[in-house]
Amino acid sequence: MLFPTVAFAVFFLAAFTANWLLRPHFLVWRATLIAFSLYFYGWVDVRFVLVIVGSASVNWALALAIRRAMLDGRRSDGSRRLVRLAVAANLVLLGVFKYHGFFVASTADALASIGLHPTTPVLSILLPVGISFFTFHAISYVVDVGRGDIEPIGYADLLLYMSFFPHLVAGPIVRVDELVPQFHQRPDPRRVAFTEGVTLIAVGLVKKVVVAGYLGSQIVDPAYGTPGLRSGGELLAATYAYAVQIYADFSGYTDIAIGCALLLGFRLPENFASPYRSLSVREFWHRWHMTLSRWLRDYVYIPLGGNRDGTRATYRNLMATMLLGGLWHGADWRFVLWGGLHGTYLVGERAASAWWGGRDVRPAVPPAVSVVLRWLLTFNLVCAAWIFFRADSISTAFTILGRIVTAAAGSTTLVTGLVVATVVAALVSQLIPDHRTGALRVRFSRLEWGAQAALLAVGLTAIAVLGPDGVAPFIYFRF
Amino acid sequence: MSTPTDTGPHHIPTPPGWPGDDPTVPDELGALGVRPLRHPARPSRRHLPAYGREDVEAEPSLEPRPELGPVAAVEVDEEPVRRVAVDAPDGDDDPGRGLMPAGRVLVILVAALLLAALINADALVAKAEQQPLGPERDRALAVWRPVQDVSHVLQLYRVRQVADWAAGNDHAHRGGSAAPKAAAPASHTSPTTTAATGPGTTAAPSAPAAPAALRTPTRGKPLRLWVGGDSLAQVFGQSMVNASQATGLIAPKLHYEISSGLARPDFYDWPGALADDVKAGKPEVVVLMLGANDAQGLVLPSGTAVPDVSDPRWSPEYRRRVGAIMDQLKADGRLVVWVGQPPMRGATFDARMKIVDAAYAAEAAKRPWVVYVDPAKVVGDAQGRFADLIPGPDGKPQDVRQDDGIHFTRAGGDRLAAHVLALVEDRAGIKT
Repeated sequence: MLFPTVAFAVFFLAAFTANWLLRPHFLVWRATLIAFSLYFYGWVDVRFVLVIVGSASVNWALALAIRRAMLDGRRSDGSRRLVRLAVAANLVLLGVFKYHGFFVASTADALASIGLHPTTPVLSILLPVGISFFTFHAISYVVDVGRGDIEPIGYADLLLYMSFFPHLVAGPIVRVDELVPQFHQRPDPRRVAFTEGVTLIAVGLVKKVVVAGYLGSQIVDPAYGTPGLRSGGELLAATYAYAVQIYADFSGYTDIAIGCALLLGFRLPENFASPYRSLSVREFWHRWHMTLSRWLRDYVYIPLGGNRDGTRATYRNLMATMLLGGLWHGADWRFVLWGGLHGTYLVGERAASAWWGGRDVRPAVPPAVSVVLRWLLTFNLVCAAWIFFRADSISTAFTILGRIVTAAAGSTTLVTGLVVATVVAALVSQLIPDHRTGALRVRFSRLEWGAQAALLAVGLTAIAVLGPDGVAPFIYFRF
Repeated sequence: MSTPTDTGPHHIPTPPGWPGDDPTVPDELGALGVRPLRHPARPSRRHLPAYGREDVEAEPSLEPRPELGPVAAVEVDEEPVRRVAVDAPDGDDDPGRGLMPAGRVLVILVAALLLAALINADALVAKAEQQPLGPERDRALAVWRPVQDVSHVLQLYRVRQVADWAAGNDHAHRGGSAAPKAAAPASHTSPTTTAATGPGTTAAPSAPAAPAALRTPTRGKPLRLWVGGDSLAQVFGQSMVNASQATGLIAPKLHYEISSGLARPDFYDWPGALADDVKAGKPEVVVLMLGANDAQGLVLPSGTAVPDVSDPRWSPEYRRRVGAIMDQLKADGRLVVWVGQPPMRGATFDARMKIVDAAYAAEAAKRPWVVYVDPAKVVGDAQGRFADLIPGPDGKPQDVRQDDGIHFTRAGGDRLAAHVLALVEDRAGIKT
């Protein structure tokens, strides 16, 4: 089920009513919320439900085994082995559904290079949406248990934690100790954060349906589909537009997810904090897909050794983390290259700041100019990496890069005034401080309920009018 | 709802027994009889975030929470990490949160959605009408038609009309949207059945002429190519554009419309759109790929609905429409390439696509200016069946289909485009 649909609106009203009515009866409430979440998931394909229930069952059993193998709540060799087994089991599940084609193709490539041409096995496996997300949830659970950070939780809690419908399809990636305690605390039904939740949903819809939909169909898809026809200027504009599109699409989706959860009485972690205002790539990763960043930090970077073993090891770990983060986005070398670019940026920034730090060099330009230069450099580095993320293939990406550099001039039928205004407005909006929008929310909260309903209806109409026909496919679905 | 503790119009009184009711009693939900955590998490080295209003003062929420920061935040020498707190941003009494009882939230949400449905009733009916004929469409219409009636009585539909006008929404050749008169499609004949020759009598070409010869283009006067169709023609069409552009001898144009086809001219009017495109671009080659959305019910010119492809009346009517397009595109020196459907992953869907393919092949065979291309061997396996991965030109496997088992990947689009382009080049005497 997609968020911006009539079906979801009806589904959510039913879930909202059941959630608050049944809250006093914990077991019934939990069973109902699980049923709603599995229905939400099974809407796409009923078989997906089997996958997530199976994954929850295996992880539940393994977590109990890990806890039993621990000595006085501390890690033992046995528990370490079981954690490794559990992580491997989750990765195998992910691999079967997400990466089999990639592995088959790469293996065949390798065999072909030594002169062998095996007949390619024809495997058609439907990718269950959100599998990357719930697998990461499961891994964080078993690892947290293995580290002694949390006790194993009950099966129903685990199933609800993994399948909770607001975050099921595209995050945010929540930890057990953030969400499960909320299941067991009964929020006050007289204090539902209405304005906060509804504003998040409305802003999310505008970002996802209007901004991302418009830029995608107006400039990004045509330019990236036929780069040979486009001038370098158009491709550059399309790349900037894609940077805004993917942000609007993904952060819009998480806004809706967080808003829906809030209306149900749950608080999910923030996922984006105006990423394009960053002045360094390191800062960008503090602001972009933050729940993935911290997942990678907690379950990849730190286990690899983090920054404890000296400069060289730190660089290696950063690089490995970013490469894996890239691969997580999809079974394609483009994503590996994207991750590699970001790894290189991070290592480069670190090396540069270590070099500068060792010398007492005064910047040659005034601070304001330095800020603008750093912003420009960061934004363009991030956009250069987006080219590999969006292009059809690595060779297309290099074609696009080449044309941006060499064929700047030319006709620009795609770059209309409205496209430029949308991109600029989206970037400038990242500088608006929160208290500005806070004042508007206060005014909305003070309205009579009838006026609030009317405003929401008019807002929905505006989104429907400005959005493209039909629902644009969600970029992060396939990740 | 007025109690002595009311401090303002938006302060919601705390009911007896709820947290915050008595400041001398600790705010514990356990006092309410809520079941305690069955598997209480051991206090961990991380903070457990505060939920519910009782904890708000205990934890100043603007503290940086380094343990929640991303990758590089493990370092001690970090600049302060942006807050990724999961607790309330501005405390619980922030009026911007708009706290209110769940019941009132429900009333407002229901009212807002009902009002939005009334305002957008025309669009909702139009969208329902565009669904394939069948029970699902009937159900959707049964829901939205009465809403539309109410909307017209209350004149609320005008809000959407004005908004569409203000936004400049104008869908050339798109049926349905914001057109109240389109409310009863089954009662009027489809507007696009222009060459109403009737089933069976379709286009008997006078005599099978020689295959169309194309002008040999030069760089100064390139061959004008038009490629288009439905969503399958997006990736394939882009590949066509890229490949033909690269020859330097062909000037391509691409026009695809998502979800379009020939079965539902009330959704998109391809004959009308093609007439416009042909007039504007005077293409010498027309490459058309339609049909993925066409294995659905259609309405005969007589107004009778034919609910499914299995109906014996379906194929003659569909063939009539295909033939009419082919005839419409006939012109001196023009080649029409009709691309059939690739093999599909779903067996049922694949079988239905074979029915539309049969219509294209049969109608193309009657017309010398039309070439039918069967993509099965180009993007399928050696037997012409569906395959995700097929050996590429260099022997390495290529992923040719998207995850849906229907649409092409770029590699798949490129393969089909290369095949079609070779055919065009052959006719035009282009040597590569």
